[in-house]
Amino acid sequence: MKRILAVVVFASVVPSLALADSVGGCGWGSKLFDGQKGVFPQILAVTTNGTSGNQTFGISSGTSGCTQSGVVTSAWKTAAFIDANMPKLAMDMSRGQGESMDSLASLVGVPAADRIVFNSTLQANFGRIFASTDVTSTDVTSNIKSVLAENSALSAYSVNI
Amino acid sequence: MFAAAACAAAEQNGYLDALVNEAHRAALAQEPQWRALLHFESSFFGAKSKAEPSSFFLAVDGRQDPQAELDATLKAFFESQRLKGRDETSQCAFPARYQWLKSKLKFDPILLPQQKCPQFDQWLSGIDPHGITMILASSYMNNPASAFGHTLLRLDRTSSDARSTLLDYAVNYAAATDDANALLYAVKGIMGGYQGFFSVSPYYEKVKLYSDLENRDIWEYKLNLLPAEVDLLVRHLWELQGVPFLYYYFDENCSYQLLSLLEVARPTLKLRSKFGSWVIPVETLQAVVEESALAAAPEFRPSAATKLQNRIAQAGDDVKRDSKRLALDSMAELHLADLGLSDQELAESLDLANEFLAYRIMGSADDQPILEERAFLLLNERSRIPLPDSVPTPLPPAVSPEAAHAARKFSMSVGLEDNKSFYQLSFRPTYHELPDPEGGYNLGSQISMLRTDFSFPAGERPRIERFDLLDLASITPRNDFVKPFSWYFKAGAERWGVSPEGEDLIWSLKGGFGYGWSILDRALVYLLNGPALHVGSDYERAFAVGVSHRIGSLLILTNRLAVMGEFNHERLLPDNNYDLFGLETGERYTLSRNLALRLSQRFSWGDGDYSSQFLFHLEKFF
Repeated sequence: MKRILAVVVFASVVPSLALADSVGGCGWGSKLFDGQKGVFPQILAVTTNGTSGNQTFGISSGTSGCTQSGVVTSAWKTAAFIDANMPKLAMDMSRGQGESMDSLASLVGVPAADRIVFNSTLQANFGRIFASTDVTSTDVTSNIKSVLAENSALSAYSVNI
Repeated sequence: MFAAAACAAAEQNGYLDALVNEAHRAALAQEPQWRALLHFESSFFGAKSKAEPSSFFLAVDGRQDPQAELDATLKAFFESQRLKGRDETSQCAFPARYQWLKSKLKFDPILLPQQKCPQFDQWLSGIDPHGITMILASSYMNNPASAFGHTLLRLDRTSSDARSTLLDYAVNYAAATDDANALLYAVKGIMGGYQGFFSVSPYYEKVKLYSDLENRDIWEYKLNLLPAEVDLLVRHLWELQGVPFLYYYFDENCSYQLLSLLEVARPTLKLRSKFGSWVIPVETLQAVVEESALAAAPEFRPSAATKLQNRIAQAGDDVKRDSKRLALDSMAELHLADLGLSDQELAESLDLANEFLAYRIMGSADDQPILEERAFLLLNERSRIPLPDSVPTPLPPAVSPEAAHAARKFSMSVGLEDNKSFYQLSFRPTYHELPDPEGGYNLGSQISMLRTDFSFPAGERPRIERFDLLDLASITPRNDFVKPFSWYFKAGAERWGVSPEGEDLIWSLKGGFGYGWSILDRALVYLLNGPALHVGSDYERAFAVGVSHRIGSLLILTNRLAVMGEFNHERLLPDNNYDLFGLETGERYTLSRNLALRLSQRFSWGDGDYSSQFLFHLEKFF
């Protein structure tokens, strides 16, 4: 039965042991095919509010329940975005265009002038980035980082992942 | 030193008194913006804040008394100890109240120093708000009730542009519940059995949920709030963390609570007072439009299903055939090279196949692992073709939701029934029936509740001609790729029809399933079957059961003119073993957004009897 009303968890932004900036430290675990079952629309759904797992307040909370204290780095935000958007990113990347790609480019700091190279480079390296059906978002993030680092036009942006 | 501290304390106390006095003199606690900040409202049960007792209130009676709350707030601003459960001082926990009181009372920075609020500052710099957009998630397939919509707000970043709005933050109000029991959940949701909370999350999470998972189109309405108004609203959000409200599905729901946020930003917006016992999200959007709080026409964000249907509609037969093969042929049969396609053709087919597979995978098919393997393969294949997507994003529907007809309908009808003059008045509190102007609604979706038709026979008392508790229908077209079922459900009473004797009100319960098809996006054809139960003194045993078959069509000829027709047959068994046939046709002409003319023709025959009705209707939505 679909949980139509959200479970809302308030998580205050509490200074705690700072998790490392590195992506690996948080354990982003989303897969390409998340086993996310679609919603069988309830014929008489009473309410129409969301059902995503954790709704919080902190901008530093990602879908995996990861919370980062302190200033949220762009690397962290990028990892969180990739973690939450694997299927759409894969779809866009297969075509070398799309809103998820644009958002990723924005997060990584790629200016308009370099977007075309960014898009085509990632598309050409799709097989390396999404290496298997089981690839996790952590892998995807570090693969994208490698691909960018190897490209002379884009290597400057790889530090932002 | 002790004396100096005591002097400082006395000075501070003196300043606090001065501020409180000034606040009283200026009647700040009566100002609409202060009341909005407290979510303070007058109601039948008295005046109090809608927020539940919690750390949201600094005064013991703060919930009932805005003045007491204001005084306590001023006092708390002088304190430097952290609030219980918030791990920050009052100034930092209530940045909107602080900002507002500071601007009204002109705090002296020496006597009431501004404290540093690192957590709030960090949060605010991450949100980076520049503007506010109201988001409407519209209906999803086969769920007419979702036509009421769901609203949330998006906080647009200063650095945001049209291509990176996914990175903005969304504000949502929702109930917190764990109940899996649908009935309990429905009852508690209606009766205020759940608490509701505001939350802030990345907009891409919402798009993922509404657009990809639930397949709802999203409309984005940019509001024209000024920077100072946006700032106060966002500061107020920080104050609302973890603050419980009671969630009422009908009147204090997602959209109602968003209006309260907008009234904090701009107290001259009198939005909540426009609504009574049922707050329909789409209507709140219409209210925002009327109050001129909109800056521009909405942006349309098509759902995954809409994008897929658009791709299917644009695809030639070859592409459709090849896409299905690519997606569904067994591995042994799949030979890409053998298809003999150019890069362009292959790219097109792969794009359609990939979206189709994504749709199937989201819908939890039995053959999930196989589909996933195939999707992975095809995505890889597509990435080898450096050609762009040849199908552009779907265009928005001609009419956007805020321009759709209003929810309530009142009709006046005149005509002939069985060759006698017939007059009728009808009222339907909600929401949209198939003959109504389709702009802004899902074609084929009907939700009607508590419709009552009164007729005025010559020389007799007015009587109820028809009463519908519920009349729902969802006609969802099938195509090569996506094959949903259609369904209907009706519970109510009607005086119409050929019945064994007399013309009493007969109660019926009908429902069933079937198929629908779309022709050129302008016409719907449907076939529906299901059981019917009739209860009334006309029948031998006071009731009759039967099976009902319906075949019909709805044609949108122009943006004003639509025609519809349905042929139905009911076989009632076993004692009342007879066949009832019906033919209903109608023509509807839209005069304006909320006014329509309609002609209807009904014929019914069975068991040797025959009845006819010809009516002209004037219909007003409000």
